[in-house]
Amino acid sequence: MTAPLSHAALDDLRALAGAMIPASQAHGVPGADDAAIFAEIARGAGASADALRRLTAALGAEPGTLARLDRGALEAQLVQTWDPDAGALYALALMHYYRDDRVMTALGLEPRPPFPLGHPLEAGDPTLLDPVKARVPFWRPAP
Amino acid sequence: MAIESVDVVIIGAGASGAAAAWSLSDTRMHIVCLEQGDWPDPARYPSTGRDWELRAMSDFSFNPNQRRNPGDYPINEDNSPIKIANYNGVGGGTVLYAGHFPRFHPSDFRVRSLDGVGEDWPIDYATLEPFYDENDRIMGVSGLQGDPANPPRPERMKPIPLGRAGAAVARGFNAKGWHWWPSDSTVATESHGGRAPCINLGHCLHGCAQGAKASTDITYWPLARRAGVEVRTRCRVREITTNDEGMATGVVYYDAEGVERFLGAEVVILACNGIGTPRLLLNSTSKRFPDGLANSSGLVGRNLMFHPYAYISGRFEETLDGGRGPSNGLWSQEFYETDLGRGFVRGFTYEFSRGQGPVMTALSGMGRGQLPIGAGHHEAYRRLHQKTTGMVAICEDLPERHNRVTLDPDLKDAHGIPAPRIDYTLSDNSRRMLAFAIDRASEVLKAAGAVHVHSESPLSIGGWHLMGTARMGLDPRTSVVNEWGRSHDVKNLFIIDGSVFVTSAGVNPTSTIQALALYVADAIKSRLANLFD
Repeated sequence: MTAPLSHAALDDLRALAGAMIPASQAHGVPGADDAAIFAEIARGAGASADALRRLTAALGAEPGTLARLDRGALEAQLVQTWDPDAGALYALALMHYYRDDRVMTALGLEPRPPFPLGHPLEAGDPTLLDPVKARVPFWRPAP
Repeated sequence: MAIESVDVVIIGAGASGAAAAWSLSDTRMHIVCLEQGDWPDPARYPSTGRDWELRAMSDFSFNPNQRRNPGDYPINEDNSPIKIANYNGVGGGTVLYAGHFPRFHPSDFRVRSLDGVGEDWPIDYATLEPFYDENDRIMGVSGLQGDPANPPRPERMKPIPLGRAGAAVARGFNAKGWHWWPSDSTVATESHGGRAPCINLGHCLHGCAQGAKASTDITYWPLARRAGVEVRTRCRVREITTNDEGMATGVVYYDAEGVERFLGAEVVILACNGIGTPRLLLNSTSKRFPDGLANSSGLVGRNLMFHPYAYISGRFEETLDGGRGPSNGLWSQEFYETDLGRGFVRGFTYEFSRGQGPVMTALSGMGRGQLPIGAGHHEAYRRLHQKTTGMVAICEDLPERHNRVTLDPDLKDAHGIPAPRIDYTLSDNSRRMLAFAIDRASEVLKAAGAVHVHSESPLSIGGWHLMGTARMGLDPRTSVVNEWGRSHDVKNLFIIDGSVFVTSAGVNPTSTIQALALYVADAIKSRLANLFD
C-alpha cells in the first residue's frame, strides 16, 4: 500500500492535470482538475509520488508551487520538458478523466458499464462477401 | 493418515484440462483436477463496473506479473521482447482469450515436408478433425461455412456482426482483391448450451460477464463435474513424484490453506500451458530424473514458440464501433501459405481488431503521439474517438532450441517453488514476416479509407500463445511425448496442453489445444487395458 500524496504534492498534481486536460466550453467538458475527477486521480496517485517530484523539479519549480504558475505557461513548459514522468502522470489523468459521467456523455456515450445492457452493433452488408465467395478453395493440401 | 489416491490427476483446469476431464469422465474413473487458481466469478468481471477499462490493467491484466492474483506465479520475462499472457484459474486462458477459434490447416502438420523448416507432426489434420468437430459442439462456435481458405466446417451459429468497423475493413480487403471471411469464434451469437447470446459488451478479452464467450468454466466443467470429476481450486502442484521403476506415483501440492499434501495417482495428466508444464517437469527432479521429469531428450522447455503479433490500426473520418462488440469478427488468410517471393517462409493470419473504449482510446492516442496536452487535447481526442479500427497479424513462429523456459535461480512463487525464466529471441524470418504483414495491412486500411495508419511490432503484450516446450514425436531423442501425448520416459504421464505442439501454425491455438486434449483422452480410453506397455 503506497502512502497518499502530501497536500503540496496534490496541489502540484492538480495543476498539472488541469494543464494537461483543460476544461472546454466548446466541447462542454470539465478539466481533469475538476473536483470530482481529480478526487479519482488522487485516489490512485500515491505510486506516482516520485514521478511527480521529479517532474516538478524538471519544471524548475519548488514542491507545492505549480498552481501559482499561469496555466498557459505551465502547458508550454510541460511540452518543452516532456519526459517519461510527464507521460506517466498524463496517463494517470487520462485513465480517470475518460470515465467521468460528464465526459462520457459529451462524447455521446452512456455513462454506465457495458453489462448488463450491452450495445447495438450493425450487422453489416452481407453482399460484401460475394467476391470472396466466388473464389475457388485455395487451402494447401498436405501429403 | 491414509494416503489419498485417485485413478487420474489432471493438473490445470484450463482449455485442455477441462476437455480431457470431460472426455475421460465417461470411464467412471476417479478423476481429480488440481487448479492453482480459483473459480472465476462472472458477476465480478470488469465489464460489470464503471472501471472496466482500468481493471484490464490490474486484476484482469493478461500479464501475471502485473495481475499478481493469489493464483498467479511470477515469471522472469526480462530476456524476451514478448511478455507472457495467461490466466491462472478454472477456465485458464479461455477466460481472457478473444474467443477466436480457427483451426490449423492440413499443411500445418507437414511443415518439414512442404517447406523444409521445423518438423512434421506425427499426426495429421484428418486425425484431429473429428475432435475439432466435437470440441466445436461443446464450446459452441459461430462463423460461416464455405471459407475458401479452409477445409469444410460443420454447421455454425450465425457469424458475429461486422459492425461499421468490420465492414470498413472488409471493403479494404475487397479493394485489394484479397481473402477475408467471418471468423470462427466461440462468442455465441445465439443461445447455446445454456449460454446467452452476445450483447456486444466489447470486453471479451477480460472475461465475458454475459457468458456468451465460451470459457471452459461454463462449457466443459459443468458437464465434467456432473459426471463425477472433482475440481480442487487453490491447489498448487510443486512436483510430480516417481518410483524406482520410473513411473509417476502422484503429485505433491499445497492446498488452499498452504498445507503440503500428496495425492497418489495411476495416471498423471499435465495441462498447465507451454510455460507451466515445463516449469513443473523441470521442478520434478529425482535421482532417476536429475534433469527434470520426461526430459531424456533435453527438450523440456526448449523450442518455445509464441506467435509474434503485429498490430496495424487505421484512423478514419467516419464513425465506427469504438469499444462496442466482440474484438474479433473476421479474418484474412490471403498470406497464410508459404510464398518465398515474399521473403520469408510460412505465413500468417490477419485477425480483425474492432476498436477501443474511451480510456484505451486516450491511452493509445497518447502512446502514438496523437493526443496532445492542453488546448488542442479535446479536438484531437474527437478525431480518435470511435474512429479507429484495424487488425493484428498472427505470425507463425518456428521452433528454435534457444528459445526456452528454464527455472529462474532466484525468483520463486508464494510457496517457494522456483519460477520460470523465459529466454526468447525473435527470428529474422519472423521479422521479415511482420514487416510484410504491416505493409499489406497498411494497404488494406488505406484502401478502406484510413487517413492515418499506425503499427506496432512485435506486440510486447502479445505472449498469449505458449507452445512447443514438450513437443510430440515418434523419436524419444527428438521429442518429449509420443504421438498420442504419453511421455516417452514415464509411461503413465501425459501432456495435453500447447507444450506438445511441434510447430505453431499461424492461427490462435485454443481449438487445436482442445482437439488434441480430446484426442489424447480418446487414446487413453481406447488403450486402458495396456496403457502403460
